[in-house]
Amino acid sequence: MHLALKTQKMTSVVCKGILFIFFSVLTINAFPQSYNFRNFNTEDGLTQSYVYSILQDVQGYLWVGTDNGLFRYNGFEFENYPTGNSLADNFITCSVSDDKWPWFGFSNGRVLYFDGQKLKPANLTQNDLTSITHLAKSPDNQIWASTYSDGLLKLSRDSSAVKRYQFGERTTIISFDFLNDTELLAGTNTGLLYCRLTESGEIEKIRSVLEIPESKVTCIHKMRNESGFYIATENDGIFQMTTRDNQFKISKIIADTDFEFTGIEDIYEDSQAKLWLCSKGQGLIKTSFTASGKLTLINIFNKPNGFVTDNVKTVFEDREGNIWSGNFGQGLTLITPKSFSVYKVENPVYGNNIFSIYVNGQDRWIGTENGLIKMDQLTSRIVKFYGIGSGLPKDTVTTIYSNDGKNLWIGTGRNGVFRMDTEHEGIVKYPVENGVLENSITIITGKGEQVWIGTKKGLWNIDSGTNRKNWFSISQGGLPHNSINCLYIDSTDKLWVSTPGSTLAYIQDEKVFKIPLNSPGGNLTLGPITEDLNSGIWVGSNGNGVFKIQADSIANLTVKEGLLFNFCYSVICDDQNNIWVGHKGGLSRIRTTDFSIKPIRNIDGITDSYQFNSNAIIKDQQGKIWFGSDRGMVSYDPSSDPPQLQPPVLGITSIKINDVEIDYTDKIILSPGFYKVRVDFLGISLKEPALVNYQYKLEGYDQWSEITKNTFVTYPRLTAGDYTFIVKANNGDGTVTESPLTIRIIIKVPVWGKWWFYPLNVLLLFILTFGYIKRREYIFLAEKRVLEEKVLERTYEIQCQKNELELQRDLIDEKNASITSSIRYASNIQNAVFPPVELIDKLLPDSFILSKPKDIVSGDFYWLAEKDNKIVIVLADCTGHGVPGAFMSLLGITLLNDIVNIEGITRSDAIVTKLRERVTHSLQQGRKDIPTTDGLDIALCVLDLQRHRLQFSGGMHNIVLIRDKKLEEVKADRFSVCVISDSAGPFTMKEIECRKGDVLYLFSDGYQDQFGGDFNKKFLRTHFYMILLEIHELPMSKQREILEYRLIEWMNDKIQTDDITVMGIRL
Amino acid sequence: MKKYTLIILFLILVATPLFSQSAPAVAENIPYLMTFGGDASTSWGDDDFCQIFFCVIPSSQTGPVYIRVYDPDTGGALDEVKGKFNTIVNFSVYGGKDCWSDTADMVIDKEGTYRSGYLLTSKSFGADLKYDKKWYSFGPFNPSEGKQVERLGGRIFKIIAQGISGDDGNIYKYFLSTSPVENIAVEGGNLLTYKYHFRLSDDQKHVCQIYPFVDDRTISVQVSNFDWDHDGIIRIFSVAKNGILCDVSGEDNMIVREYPIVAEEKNSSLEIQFIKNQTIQINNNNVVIAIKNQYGISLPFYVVPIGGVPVYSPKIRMK
Repeated sequence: MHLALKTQKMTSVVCKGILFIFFSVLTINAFPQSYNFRNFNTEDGLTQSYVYSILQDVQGYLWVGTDNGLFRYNGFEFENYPTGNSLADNFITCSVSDDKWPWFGFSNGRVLYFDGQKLKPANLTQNDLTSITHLAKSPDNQIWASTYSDGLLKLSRDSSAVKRYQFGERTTIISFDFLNDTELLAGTNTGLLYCRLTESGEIEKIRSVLEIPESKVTCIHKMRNESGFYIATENDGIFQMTTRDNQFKISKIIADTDFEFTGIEDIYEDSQAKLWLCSKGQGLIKTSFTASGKLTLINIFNKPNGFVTDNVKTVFEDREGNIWSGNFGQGLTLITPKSFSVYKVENPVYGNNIFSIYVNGQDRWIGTENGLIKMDQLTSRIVKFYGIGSGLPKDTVTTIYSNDGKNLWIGTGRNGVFRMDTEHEGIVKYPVENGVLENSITIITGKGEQVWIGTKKGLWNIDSGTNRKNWFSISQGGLPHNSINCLYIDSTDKLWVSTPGSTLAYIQDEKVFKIPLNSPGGNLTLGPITEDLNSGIWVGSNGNGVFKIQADSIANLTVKEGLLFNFCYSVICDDQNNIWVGHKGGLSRIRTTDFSIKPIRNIDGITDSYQFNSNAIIKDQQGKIWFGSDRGMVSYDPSSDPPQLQPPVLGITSIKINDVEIDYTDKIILSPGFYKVRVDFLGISLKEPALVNYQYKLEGYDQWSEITKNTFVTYPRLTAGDYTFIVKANNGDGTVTESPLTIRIIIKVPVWGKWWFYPLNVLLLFILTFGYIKRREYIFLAEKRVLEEKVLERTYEIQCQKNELELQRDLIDEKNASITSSIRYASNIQNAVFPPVELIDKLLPDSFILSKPKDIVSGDFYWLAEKDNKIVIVLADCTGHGVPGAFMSLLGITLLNDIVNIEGITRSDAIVTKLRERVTHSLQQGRKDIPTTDGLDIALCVLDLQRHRLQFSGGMHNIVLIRDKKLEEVKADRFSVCVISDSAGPFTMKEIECRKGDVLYLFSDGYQDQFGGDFNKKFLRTHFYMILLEIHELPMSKQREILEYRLIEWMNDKIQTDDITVMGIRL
Repeated sequence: MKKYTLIILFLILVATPLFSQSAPAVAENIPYLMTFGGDASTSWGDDDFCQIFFCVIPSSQTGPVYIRVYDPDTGGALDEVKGKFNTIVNFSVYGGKDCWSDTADMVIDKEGTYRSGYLLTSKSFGADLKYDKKWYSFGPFNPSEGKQVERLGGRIFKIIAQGISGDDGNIYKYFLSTSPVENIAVEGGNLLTYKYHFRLSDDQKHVCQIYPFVDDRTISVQVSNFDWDHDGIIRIFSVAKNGILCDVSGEDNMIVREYPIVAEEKNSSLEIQFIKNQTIQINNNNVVIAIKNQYGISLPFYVVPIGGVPVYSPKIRMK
């Protein structure tokens, strides 16, 4: 061979080799590790870098034990849990979960457990213990601790119930696990022991497990299916031990490659039955068993592979499937599958701004700002770049399309359409139309022979078979706008067209149909279009989020609904029926079933200032989604990102009543009043804590809140009521907590607000009233009884008095009868001393005497005597009436008899004067100590019938003489016949000539002083005189009747006031 | 080729710190430590077949540390064979609260609790070419797992090399490193022992020296040496002693001599020089040396002498 040719061939080989190496390097750059590592250190609050234990409690918190403190992680921050004040130091050596809460072993021999509120010591009574080396749970769910040289502790929350088991000789237990309740495997510094616990507290060594070398057994991990154990030694590899019928089958685990498992500190079998090996020196190793029983190394997480350390102390899989690596000296690392990968084209000639992507069989075609890149689909190696010199101008490849997989339609930003035969790699320009806008190709799509080319001046429809072209624009066909932003052919062969403006159009059978989309802002620019698996059309917009058109309904999702941004540049539907939206600076994933949106801002390997380009999105045959951005190409592999079906673990973190935090259970009872209540809650999702959404309500107060990321709510003024705070959460994948978290808040109703208050009050009032009434009734009855007793007593007294009175009455009656009888008898005597009727008829034949004593006996008296042919007529009214008057009348009559009949004095004035003298004498004799006023008024007439003369002397009593129907009153002296008028001088005498027919009336003052009539007034003298004048001509007996009648009529049943005596004499 | 070799040697020299925490230290001019198999005769130079070293990790060191052992196996050209190699030597590293006692005498008493503390790691080596003339790293160790000793200025780990079986001599050395694959000194770290088992250089021109620290309680020291084999002389230097001769032991023999300590020597290091016999070539001389104070408490030998190498300061009396 010619030397030059050889040199050329050599050069070619070298060049190919260089290219191969170059592309290999690119490939390496393009395929970073398939896991995301998130390291937690001091900046995250994890101030210690040596992690010895990790576990998750029932509330979702991740507990991280380090050499200098215990930390609790809630997805956002690490909280340093102080342990120093609980007799433990800060060196946490191990931990275990009792299926609910964690237990922690410390280097000073203490064990603490968490009771949901705080850490409490479990082995307080066990002093001076050596370091806790391991914690494990026995089949009967007891927690056990191994110590460095003090045996095993059977732990209990009751510190005093801790029981200690020891070996007969000093043995260090590094790790252990139970075969059954009494038998266990103990890993020591010198191999594995098969032991039994005795009742006496001894750890009986049954035998050494000789299949395990006499090396330090660092870990005994029970298989997830509980068929055996994985056993790690410090220097002699790892072993698999299965148990059957108390027989151990032990085999050393070897790798299917030349790899030695040394320095293994911990083994962990995850939920996918993958074994994770923690080693000092080799990092974290993810393995799985092959069919031959060897271990296949799936991943080695060490420094050469980008992991933070080569020394991993422990590993843990949380409830969401995240792997947590507890590093030795490098803190904590969260390991999650890498679902996003970034592909950057390092060669500036090719360009790294990806505008279009097309997958064609084994090739991936990438349109950049500089041309077209052909990339191997399997290896992601760049096969070839097509730019200037390959038939393409230096222009942006805005769109790539192929209707047959062989011929590409390539749209450019300014230079129109090019066609490429991928087999022969020939690129030719496809003439469309002249003009700048006509050659600004925005998108090409099609189906079968039909190719649709969107430009900034309109829409071309090309039949690639016949090369027939059809032009659509505003004026031609009726498009809403000439600038085509996106084209999409849906499952019903409708061509959807988006343009600047608010009208979405679709073309069917060469006819344009328009769908107006309203936006709150008014201006609307429609962009990318896709179709979901349920035939819903999704249209992104420039500033107004995403629209979904399904039949006649249109939904609009914006930032308000959780979209990352309202500016949408690309949309596509994945195989899980999720809509992916590309924004400037991130992605939004919309779950079509419930419109829940997961914003994705951070993508490892790409800076924050990236932007996804318009319509630069495609889904390949494997379901991977490829996004074109100004910082390269991003792929998303849904298979690496299964939806998180575990909802966040929701818990109340604090409750403050009137700004004071309180201890709480599931019920808070508050006394009546007004309260400010703040509830803090947290849904723990360790994978994507920032994507947890909440919805809450206070039942009895308000309705469900909007979906929010707020982790607290304040109710400023709650009053009496029974409230239930309900909160639920969902994670970034929309998985909602199965049962919402509830807590009852009862603010007691004041007494007056209770339903029974008023009825009770009414009842009470009724009872009180009833009681009051009853009380009063009782009092009344008591009083009545008292009164009755008193009445009875009084009645008795009255009865007694009555009896007494009756006795007295009877006595009085008796005496009265006696007195009356006596008086009557006295009356007889008095009447006996009065002039007899015969005398009267004899001396004064035509006369009458009306005598009406007030009592039985009368104080008035009349007297008549004839002496010397003179008739002495006296009518006197003695002082008083009744018996005293009668006495006086008897005295008067007696004295008159003496004066007239015995002494023979017939002169009227002499008689009266003599009478006064005698009366005075009679009443004052020997009685000077008793002043006596008794006496009598008198009218005394001496009728001398022979001389027809009438003498009249009177004391206080006038007489009336009626002559010729004329009444003449003859005045008497104005003093009485009594002691006190003794010095008044002698009585005077009036001598009157009397004629026949004259009618003389003598009378006492009783008639005229009688009360009666209609007005109970005195009869009066005038009235009396008128009657006398009226009747004086009548017979004297008649006159007497009339006077008596008039008197009775006047009295009208009234009591007689005084003795009444009227004497009428017709001369 | 020669050029590249020189460069590599230069780099190795640069990479190896001259004042690092190696035991024996470079400045001591002692080539190796030695521990014989448990079945060996003491006449070969090891009186108890056990060497205990303590590593001092300063509080400022928070990253993991490694204790590296060079040629941990007992086989190959470096180690001392008796017949065929049949020796197993175990290296164990201890931490925890009991790994170091203030009563240092206890920790070197083989019958006592010299294995106190928490065993962090352990490995036995026989004749294994994999480790011959190679470094083996124990660790990583979390400094917090060591015992905090304020007086020593940090946390203490203990490494015990003990001949389990066999009658050969294991020749090795230590390095306290922050790396498992190379010797990177721990800043401020130190290594100390209370009973030094080492091999003297075969080169008659070499003068080996070790540096026991004399604390302020010491008024006299008892220097004991074992199996000197008449290989020259031993001199003691300090700020007040200008190379006074120390009595030396003979074959398979322990000799103890007491020397007063003056005030100037307190809280400083002594320098004990081992000056090879200049007339008779004696190879493979293994020596054990220990120093106790007047109470019988052992004094530590630091690989990095506390207070620096003592320099004699003569007192000049003016008349």
